[in-house]
Amino acid sequence: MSLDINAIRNDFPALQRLIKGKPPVYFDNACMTLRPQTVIDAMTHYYREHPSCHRRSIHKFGKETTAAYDKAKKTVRAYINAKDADEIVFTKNATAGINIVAHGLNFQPGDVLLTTTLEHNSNFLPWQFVAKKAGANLAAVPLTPELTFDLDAYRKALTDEVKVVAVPHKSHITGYTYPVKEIIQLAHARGAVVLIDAAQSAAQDDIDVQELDADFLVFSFHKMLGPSGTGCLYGKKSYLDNLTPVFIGGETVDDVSHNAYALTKVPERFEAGLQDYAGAMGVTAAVEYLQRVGRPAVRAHIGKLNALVTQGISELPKVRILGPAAAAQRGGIVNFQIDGMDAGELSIILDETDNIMTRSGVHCCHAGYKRHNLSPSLRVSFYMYNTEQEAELFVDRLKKIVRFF
Amino acid sequence: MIGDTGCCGFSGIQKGPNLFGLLTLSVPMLVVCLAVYPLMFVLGAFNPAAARRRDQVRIIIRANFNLIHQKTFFPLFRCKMAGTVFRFSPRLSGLLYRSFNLAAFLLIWLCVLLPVLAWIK
Repeated sequence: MSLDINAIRNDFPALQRLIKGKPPVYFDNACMTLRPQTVIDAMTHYYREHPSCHRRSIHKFGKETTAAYDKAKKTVRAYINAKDADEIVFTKNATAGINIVAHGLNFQPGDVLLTTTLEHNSNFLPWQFVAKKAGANLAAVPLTPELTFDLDAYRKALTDEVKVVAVPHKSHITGYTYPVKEIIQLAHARGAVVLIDAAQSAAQDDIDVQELDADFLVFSFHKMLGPSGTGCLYGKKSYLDNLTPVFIGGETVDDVSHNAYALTKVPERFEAGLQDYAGAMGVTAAVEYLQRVGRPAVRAHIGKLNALVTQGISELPKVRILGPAAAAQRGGIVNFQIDGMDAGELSIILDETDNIMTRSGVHCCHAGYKRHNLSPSLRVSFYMYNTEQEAELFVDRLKKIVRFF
Repeated sequence: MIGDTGCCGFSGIQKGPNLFGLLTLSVPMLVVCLAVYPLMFVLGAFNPAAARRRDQVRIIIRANFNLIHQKTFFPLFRCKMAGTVFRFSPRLSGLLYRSFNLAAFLLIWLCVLLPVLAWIK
């Protein structure tokens, strides 16, 4: 179950570049992955062959676009094993999906919205906003000192007032996978709705929304080889039916009069206006590529790279890895701090030396970093096209920086 | 403010001790202490009181070095320079990175402050 890395790397045009005579070492996959040529070709095909609207346009170009758009929905349905393609809403990213749910649910004063203490701003701010607006309360389950999920603390926090539980599937800070099945079961026992932020897991984990019994699930395609600005909101049909759309306009209605309108069915009522058709076609190509490579093989590969880097840097003085010490519990992410060194400066130095592209700062987790008393950190995140040589190069450079800087 | 911190980017905002304080106090203090330290090192080998003074001077040198190093002063340039030199010599790169601020402040003293002081006199 191993990957043919060379063949994979040849599929990615960005990896063929030389920057100051050296290839890029792209370790920012948790932010956005690179794109294979097939995705680029699929998008270009749309613009070249049938650059038109779907549905409303019943000419030949319109029919081709409609067919391709529907195919994208069916492909994604199969990818996460949703019951029906009508449970798939295309958005521009996971953030948009979370906002659709947060603003579409009806909260009352005294309701509790439950997240955790280390959330991405995208799975924190929408809930903070709607809680303030509705007079509801935003609560957070405290994580353990290793930044893992505390089921006991969660059980304590799950009161009858909790109306929604919104947690990540996989942490963008540590790569740790949350026990979402248990989280969902416990929440449902209390009558709470659950939203899972799968932005970090959709790229390599096997997600079965029916088995998980998630009420809502969001992810971004640009974190799994897909085009920028494309994402997915999955929702159980009955839940989507009861959600109030935030944006309405063309495509969201069956009929309109001067004073009233009749919303169309799900999921179209959440896809206002013309959509990113090139993006949808790119999504189909991305999912097909990922399914050809195989998610288990990707998981095994990034796990190996994580183990290599973790072993190389965990013993270095002044280096502190965030999250569980075991690489096996952190997927494809190594997020760490070096005492006395600014993470942003470290990121620039690595980029300048060998085109090692990483992410630094608080990773859109301001509240979480403050709550857990963390300093800005450097995050390295791997994907299918990264090599052991790249991981070894990174370890070598970091050892020298710790020694001489 | 340097660069684009955005939501969670490079944290190279202006931070650390006040630049004026560093230029007018830390740098001159450091220069003076470094100048007397060799003599105090020798005297300290023979005289316990001098040894105590020598240790105090060493603490002052270290403290001012740290203060000067903490200042965010053209961090982008410093990092790019260090990164460029790193390819040839990581050791030299580290030395340049650590001494960048001090070198810059000494240059300001030599090229700006001293001429201004001389002109005022």
